[in-house]
Amino acid sequence: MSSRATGSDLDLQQVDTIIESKGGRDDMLIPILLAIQKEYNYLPEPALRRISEKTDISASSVIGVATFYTHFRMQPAGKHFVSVCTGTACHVKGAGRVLQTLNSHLDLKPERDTDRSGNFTVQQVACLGCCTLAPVVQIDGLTYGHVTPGQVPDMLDDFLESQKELGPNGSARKTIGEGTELGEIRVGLGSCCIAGGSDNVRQALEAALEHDGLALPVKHVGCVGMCHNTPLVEVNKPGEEARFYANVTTDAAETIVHSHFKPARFKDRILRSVQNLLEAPFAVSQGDLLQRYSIDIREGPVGDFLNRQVRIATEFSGELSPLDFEEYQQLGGFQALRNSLLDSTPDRVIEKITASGLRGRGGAGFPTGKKMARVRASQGDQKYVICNGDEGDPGAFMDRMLLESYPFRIIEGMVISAFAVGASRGVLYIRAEYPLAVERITQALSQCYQRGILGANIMDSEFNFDLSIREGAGGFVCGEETALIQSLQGERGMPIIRPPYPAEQGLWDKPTSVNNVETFALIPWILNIGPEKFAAMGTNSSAGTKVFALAGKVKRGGLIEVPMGITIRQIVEEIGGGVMEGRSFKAVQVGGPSGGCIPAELADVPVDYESLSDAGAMMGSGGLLVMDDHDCMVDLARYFLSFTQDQSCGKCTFCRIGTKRMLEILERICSSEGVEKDLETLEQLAGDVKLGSICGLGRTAPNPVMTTLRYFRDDYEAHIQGRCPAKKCTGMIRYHIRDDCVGCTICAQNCPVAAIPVSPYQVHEIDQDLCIKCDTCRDVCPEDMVEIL
Amino acid sequence: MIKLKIDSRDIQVQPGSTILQAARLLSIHIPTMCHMPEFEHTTSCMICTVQADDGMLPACSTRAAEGMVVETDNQAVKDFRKTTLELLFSEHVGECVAPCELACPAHLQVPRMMKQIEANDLDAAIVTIREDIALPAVLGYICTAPCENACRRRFVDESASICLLKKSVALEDLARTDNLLPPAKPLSGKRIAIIGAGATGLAVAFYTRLSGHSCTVYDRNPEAGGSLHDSIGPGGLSREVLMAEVEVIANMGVEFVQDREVGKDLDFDEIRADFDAVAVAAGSLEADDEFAGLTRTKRGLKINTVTYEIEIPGVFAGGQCVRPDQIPVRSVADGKNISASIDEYLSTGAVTQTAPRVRSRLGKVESEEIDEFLRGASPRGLQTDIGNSDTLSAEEATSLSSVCLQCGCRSADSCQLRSLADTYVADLQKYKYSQRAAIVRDTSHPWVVFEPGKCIKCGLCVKITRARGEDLGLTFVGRGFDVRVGIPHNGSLTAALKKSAAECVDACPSGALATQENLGPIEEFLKNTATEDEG
Repeated sequence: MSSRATGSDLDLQQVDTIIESKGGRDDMLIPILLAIQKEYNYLPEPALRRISEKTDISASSVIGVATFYTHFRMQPAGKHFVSVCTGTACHVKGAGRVLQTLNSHLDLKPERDTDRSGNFTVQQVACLGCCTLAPVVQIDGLTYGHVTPGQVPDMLDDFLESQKELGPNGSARKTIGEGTELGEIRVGLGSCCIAGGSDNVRQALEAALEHDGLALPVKHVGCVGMCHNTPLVEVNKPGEEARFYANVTTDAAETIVHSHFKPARFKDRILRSVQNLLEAPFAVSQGDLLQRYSIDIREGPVGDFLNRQVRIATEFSGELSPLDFEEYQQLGGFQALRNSLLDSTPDRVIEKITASGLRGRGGAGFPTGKKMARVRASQGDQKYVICNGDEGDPGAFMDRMLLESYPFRIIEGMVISAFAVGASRGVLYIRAEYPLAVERITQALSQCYQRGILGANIMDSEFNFDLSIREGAGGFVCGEETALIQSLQGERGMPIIRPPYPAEQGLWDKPTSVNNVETFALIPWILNIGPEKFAAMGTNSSAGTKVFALAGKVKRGGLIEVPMGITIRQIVEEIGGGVMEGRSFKAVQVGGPSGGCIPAELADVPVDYESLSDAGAMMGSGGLLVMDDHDCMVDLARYFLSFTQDQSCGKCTFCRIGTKRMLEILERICSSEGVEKDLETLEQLAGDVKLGSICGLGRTAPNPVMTTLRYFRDDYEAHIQGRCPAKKCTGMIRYHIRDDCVGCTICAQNCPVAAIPVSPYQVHEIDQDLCIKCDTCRDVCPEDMVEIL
Repeated sequence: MIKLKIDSRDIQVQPGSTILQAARLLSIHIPTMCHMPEFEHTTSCMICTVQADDGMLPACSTRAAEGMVVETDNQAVKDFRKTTLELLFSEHVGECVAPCELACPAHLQVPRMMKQIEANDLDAAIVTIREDIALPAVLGYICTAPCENACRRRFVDESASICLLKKSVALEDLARTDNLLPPAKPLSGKRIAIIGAGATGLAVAFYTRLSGHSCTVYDRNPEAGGSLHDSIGPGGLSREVLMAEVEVIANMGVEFVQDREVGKDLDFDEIRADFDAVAVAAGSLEADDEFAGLTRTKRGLKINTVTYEIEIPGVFAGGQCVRPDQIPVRSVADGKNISASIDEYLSTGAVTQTAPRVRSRLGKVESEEIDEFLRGASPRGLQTDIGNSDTLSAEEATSLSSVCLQCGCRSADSCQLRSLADTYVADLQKYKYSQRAAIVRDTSHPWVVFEPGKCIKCGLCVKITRARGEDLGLTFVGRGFDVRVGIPHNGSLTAALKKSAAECVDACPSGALATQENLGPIEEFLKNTATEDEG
């Protein structure tokens, strides 16, 4: 951040360099803006002007695009970014209260997201992927888990303290993967973090490294995969797969360091001791440890978690190193591509994909073979294949996991698709918020070019295919294929009505095949093992497997790949281990903000496209959130709608204004201002928004509201009568301290808004006017004297 | 060719044609707002939604498909369009009609009149006035001026002197031989009888004559004017002014028959038989008076209060014979309305009970928002005190009229959004759940007024400015519900719209982009900016 400056003294030299390096074509606008933001930390007005001066891109486009994408900032940011995860799991666990407290503590206003000292910029982020540590706050690279509103001031102090320890260079905003040549050790990755004691583990790791004279960074990062064994440690060495250690103690930390960074003869001995220390190693992008402990894994809770799963998109999980080209090849990688290019024809490839019954994993489930055939049949001198990695569901991150862990598999799927449809160019569209995925894919692409998997005469065939990566600048709506194409063309990501479908008229008006990451990842397996094997899995209409992000009120959450046709109950109870003791399973929200709620009574519904959509939900993004009797369904509907409403591109009247009005009604209902007629209006608006929106975002946005109205109308009725049965909606509850209070003052000391006067040895009282219902007092009371009325 | 059915009619179109194009071939009207044939469709407003194959589809961009069955005007479609409009109005920040104009029973277009006076275009101003008020000089003396009571300028310093300005303009017109009137239609050959030459009767005569019908006014007094004569007094209304305005009407070709009283000298049934329509404007009736056997209420004659009809076809009544104690401007307004009913009756044989046009309102205007209105008006505290003079010098008139805040909407009559809301009977308040956005008015452009609060985000202006190669042009700023149309790099409206101002205003389906009143033709602005560019 060398050229951070404001106003007239801004050094535009950097901007010129960026423009020169990217070129001035319209479609380079987003890459240029991303680079400028990386340089200046926001988009300074003079820099934006410079773009339209130096290129043919109009001022109108520059501003239109810069203000469309969530990733771009128009104001300078503070020294540190405080990212409050408002993903689904965090929301359920009270992220809203944390955010509220943070805002009031730093005196932030809707129009000002940076505190007066310029230290902290607070932002909401969709999902940090630390679902089991919810609610999670990340300050630069430091992740804080299980944050309560009361801890907010301490958390900020602790962070500033840690900065002093680390010194100026230790500060976070480093891109992931910036380690030294030796590699790096990451703490908190997987099933995170601080709350599980990983800070102590970090210190132990650092001590061990120092002792051995190893100049290795120890870094705190967000979690990638499944998550019920904190703290987790990831060891990264260049050219090697990442290794994960679960339930790591400070004692184990030293052993881990030695096992990876000492001579090999020493390693075997040490590994054995690690074995004893680790209760249940868990690997997301793998770890040979997983194989070694296969016996342990088949028993106990981790075994239950894994046994039900079938790995296709995530095949060789635990064995495969993401960027090891040879290893991927040894395990059968690129075999499907070789067979297709050398011994098959495009039509035969399409036949096989069609026969497998594969349907798009992006949510809507359009038959992949049929889509390929359409693109193949479309006339065009140029055709494209696009991989849609614009994952935006606030509670799911399977695309990121696949991109980070199986880059070669996705590339192979894309090259095969390109061969089948006759495309000579392809683009991987990946969110800029996924730096590790971007980095791994970039490296994988360059390896593929070196090894003749990409470029001219692939595998000595006649087939030529060029593949590049493009970073998205944020926006859930860009997951919609026409919006994604607009974005690739350097426009605002606004969907366009179909037909024409991209298969006929897509990128630059050429026939284009757009598929989800997971869809591409399944293709090599189908061609290698056989379409009939794939078709045999799952149900008649939905073949194969699906990756889900299992979160919420289950004992074991994480990323899972399950065969289609498995029931929701099996996922919740067998894989997830059921809900916590003493609670009852209430519902599952499937498909994220576009999906719907399926009540526990319907939990025997099999997971396939039709059954889910008959129940009012959809496969959608693959988010799977489990709810128990302490969850308020109205609040949940409000949460999901607030997400889609915020992510609307603002084009169609119904989506732009309709979702806003629906949200206002839900907010009224949640704050006990609802009236009977509201439910009727809500239903009518939900129906109209569904009908009157041109893209998938708007058409599915009402689903969470419609399904909760359908299955949990009682919850709504109760709210209209001024009662939240789950005691969740703050407008309808008040906190009260029982008369048996011993007057220990702990609640008063912890209250972030001083709503409880300190009165030692007396029954404490809560000032209802000041109370923000953050739940801190109830949380800290040792005598359990705080009740919700 | 693609074959489909629209409203049960068969049509064939080229592949790739939209439903809208197909419907237009059949001359079936589908409303649009964000659509402009020159540009790729936006599919934003959704007003063109039709029902096809059980779905609701935007006609402007949905391709006609083989065997498609489209309905463009069934109840489901109407309801859907109504909801579309109600959603659009739920965020609409604008008032169709200025408070003064709304408060005036005759709905005098005050903001327009004020602009014309300010530009010293009194010829235009008197025509504007007479479009709604038949006796402006008389009312200039005796009107209680409800308009001034409603004037928003009160919240800045004091109300605009609307009534005085109107009087001054009217007196100036009376002083010349050729009075300026709104354009009259050619003679229709129809004949109207008007009973009573008071405020109402004179107004009926004035407007009926403008509509092209011959008028005969029967009046029981020796001189026209009715009870307006009672208002003559020293320092106020004079007989000369009253008779001068009567003369304006007589000069239009209206026949006055004085000293004839219905029931004594004239037989009501005979008049009815002789004329195509009759307007009863006989002035206030005594408590137990009966008038030509017509039904009456406690106060006066019984009429349909919307159409002014009485039970006998072709007979209308208004003024003080219906409501004895009403103020004169109300009587003059009655006259205008009766005339409109008569005109409709004569051309169609019936009078429809048209609901008043929908009117978007602003609600409470915050004091800081008044500043938005103050742009383009003379600054706070600069009202000239004129005292009680009747006529004003050009400077005084300009100064007094420049205080006008130009409330209301400049596009009130041309606005598609409003006209569709009338058609689909939209309830403008239905989804107004949250506080409206703040009022913003950009009057910095010499020719255009930009009010983002009225924008429906159709993007037509953004497309036009881009297509015409504006340096800055307009752009969408932001995303989702908060998206707005703005000017890149905080530029000025003048810099943004150098070439395409007129086109943008023309394309704007609401009043977001409108023309300033009376500031010269757009060509001049274009010429000026062109020279600037060359220089």
